[in-house]
Amino acid sequence: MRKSTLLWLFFATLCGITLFHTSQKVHDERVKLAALDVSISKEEESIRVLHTEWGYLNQPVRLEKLAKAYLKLAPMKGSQFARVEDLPPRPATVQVPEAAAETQETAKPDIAAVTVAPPPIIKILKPEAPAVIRPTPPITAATNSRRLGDVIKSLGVE
Amino acid sequence: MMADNSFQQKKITISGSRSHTLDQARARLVLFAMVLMMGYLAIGLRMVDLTLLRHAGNKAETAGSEDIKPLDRPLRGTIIDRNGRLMATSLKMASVYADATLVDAPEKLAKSLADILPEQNYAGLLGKLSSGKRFIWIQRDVTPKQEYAINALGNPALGFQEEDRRIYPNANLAAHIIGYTDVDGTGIAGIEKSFNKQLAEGEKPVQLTIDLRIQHILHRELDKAVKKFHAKGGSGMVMDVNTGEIIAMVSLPDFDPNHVGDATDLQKFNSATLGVFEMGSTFKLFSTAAALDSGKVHFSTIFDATNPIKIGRFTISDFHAKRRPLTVPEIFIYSSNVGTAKMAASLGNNGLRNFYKTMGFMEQAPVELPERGFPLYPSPWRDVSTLTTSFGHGIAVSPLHLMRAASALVNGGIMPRPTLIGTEKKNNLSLIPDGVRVVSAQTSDQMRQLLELVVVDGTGSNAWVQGYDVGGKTGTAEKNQNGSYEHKALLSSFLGVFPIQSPRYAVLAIVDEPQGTEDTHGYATGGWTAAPAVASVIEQMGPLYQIPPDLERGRKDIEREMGVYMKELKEGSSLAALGTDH
Repeated sequence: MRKSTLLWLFFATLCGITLFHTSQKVHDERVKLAALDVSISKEEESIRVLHTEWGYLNQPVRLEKLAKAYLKLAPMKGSQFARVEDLPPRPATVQVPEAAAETQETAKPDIAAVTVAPPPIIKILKPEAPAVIRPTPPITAATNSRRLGDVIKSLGVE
Repeated sequence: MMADNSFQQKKITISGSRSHTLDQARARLVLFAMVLMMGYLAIGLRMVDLTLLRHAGNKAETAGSEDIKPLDRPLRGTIIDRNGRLMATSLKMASVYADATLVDAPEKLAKSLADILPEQNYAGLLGKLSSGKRFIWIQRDVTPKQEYAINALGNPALGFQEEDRRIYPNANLAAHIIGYTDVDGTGIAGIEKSFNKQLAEGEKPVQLTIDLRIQHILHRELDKAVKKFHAKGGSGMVMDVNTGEIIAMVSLPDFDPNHVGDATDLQKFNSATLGVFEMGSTFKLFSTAAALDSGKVHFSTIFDATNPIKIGRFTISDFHAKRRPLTVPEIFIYSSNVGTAKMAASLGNNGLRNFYKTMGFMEQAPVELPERGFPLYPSPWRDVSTLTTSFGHGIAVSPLHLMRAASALVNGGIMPRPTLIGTEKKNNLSLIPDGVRVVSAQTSDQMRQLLELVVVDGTGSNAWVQGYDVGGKTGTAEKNQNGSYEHKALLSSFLGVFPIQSPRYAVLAIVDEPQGTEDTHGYATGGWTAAPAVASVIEQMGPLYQIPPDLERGRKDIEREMGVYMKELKEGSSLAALGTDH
């Protein structure tokens, strides 16, 4: 028997063993993967169950009943809002910072600045009518975008 | 050396060509034996490895891959509201069955099952378990907790069958929007039907523009109104006038989609989008807008409402006849049928008809629901059609049509596209509506003033909300039943818009056949039944949406602005005592 034959034989066997080993390993990994998939889908299913339970617990009807029974709070009303300028004047001893005047000017909420509200036509038709008594802060690009941001936030849209 | 061995004989040397053949054969044998030996060795090593070294390893490896398969089919997708709150989902629910032939101690098993399943009683379970049947249902759709407890009993007589089950955690809160599925899990109504494909794939949840909080408020207030006035039903809607997003939509009576089988056809009917109604006076919004937008009519234009109009067999008269010439704001605030009809007639037949067509009253209103009603309108359109449709009789549209068109009138004149899903531009939210312009910005502004006037000083005074400047229009239509109008059967409605200076939301409430009560002095009109419901919705919705209230503007301002067009405002008498409308 020639040496080269033996060598080839050895290599062939080695290849065979490696192949067998690899395929066995693939099989093992597949089984593991399948087991993982099952546990993931089980986990997902239980998350779904919890979500559903959360949905049931958050029924507005139920929350309202619970809030009435256990909270000393009630839904807010529009009349409970106040404006900065409606606040009582500060005590005289307190120094009013210079920036305060500016904040007062811009803090006034006024959505009219961002929506399509053309000036009331009525003023054109009726020149003797007194001016509408709502002072509107000047619309600059900065205030406009800031308000838009507030409005978007208030809508709860991301 | 060769001679002292019994194998020696095999080693007889043969020379020549045969000797080569033999050598070859021997070499092959050795090779073969080596391969076999190696194989055995490998198997032996592997056995040692498996049995001695790895016997406590992963159990899953021994279970065999055939038993373990991931779920073949995804569960039906979820439906969530605009804040991500769950509106519909699917769960795998197990149903328990028993093979009664395998039960050896029915009393004991029945007792433990009765402890786990509160819906079942001991006697019933005992009967089932001792029936001797090979297959008998114990209970359908047990909860995961119950399933676990039953499994823990370890009784071989019990088995489970898993089924997908559609679940609606909020029961009837948004039943008509979500819709429902059939037993196979295919959507057959509402969003379940229109988004059936996406839901069946189960990948991405369907997110609606509905806000469950507002939906609840609208549902509660409408339900209150329906119960208080012993009405047959009602419908309501909240819409973003700029984007057309539907924030809430209610149709009463409604049903629990978890138990669709128990619901009647009447309950399943979505009156907010599928039902078409003659809306009555709320339609004066559109005829007035048509007149103002045409440029032929101005606030100061006067129409004579002294006498009723007689045309053919019809007589058009006013409920609160002023019996004098009226300006346009006066016609609107007194809800004068005669004045509105004359105003519409001044546009010509095509004028009003074409305007209604632009307003979408001659086609289905677009929305992502399969249930969309076709409007009913006169065909052919005669002279009398112009007169009657100007105050909302002889033309029937769905509440959705009404909301869409009214939104266009107040938002600056752009027709929005009603949607339950939202636009792609959602992230790039702009408060400037995107769509076809249907009236001029000036007309839109005038309509806002008229609507405000109705609430400040007219038939809609019950919709007044301190701080939120509501504008609106009442409507009370006599229902056409079998060809004649019934004085007792009314469809009372109120369409409110707030904040009216720069509108954000429109709120509609319709009460079907309300009966007047003592509180309302027997009146069952829109101003008494629907307007308070709209006011309550706005009062709760405003702070929730952080809309800054305007506490400065009061009725004096609008009275001062509009007084010049209104004889009685100028003379100082109040209109708020009107109380009813037509």
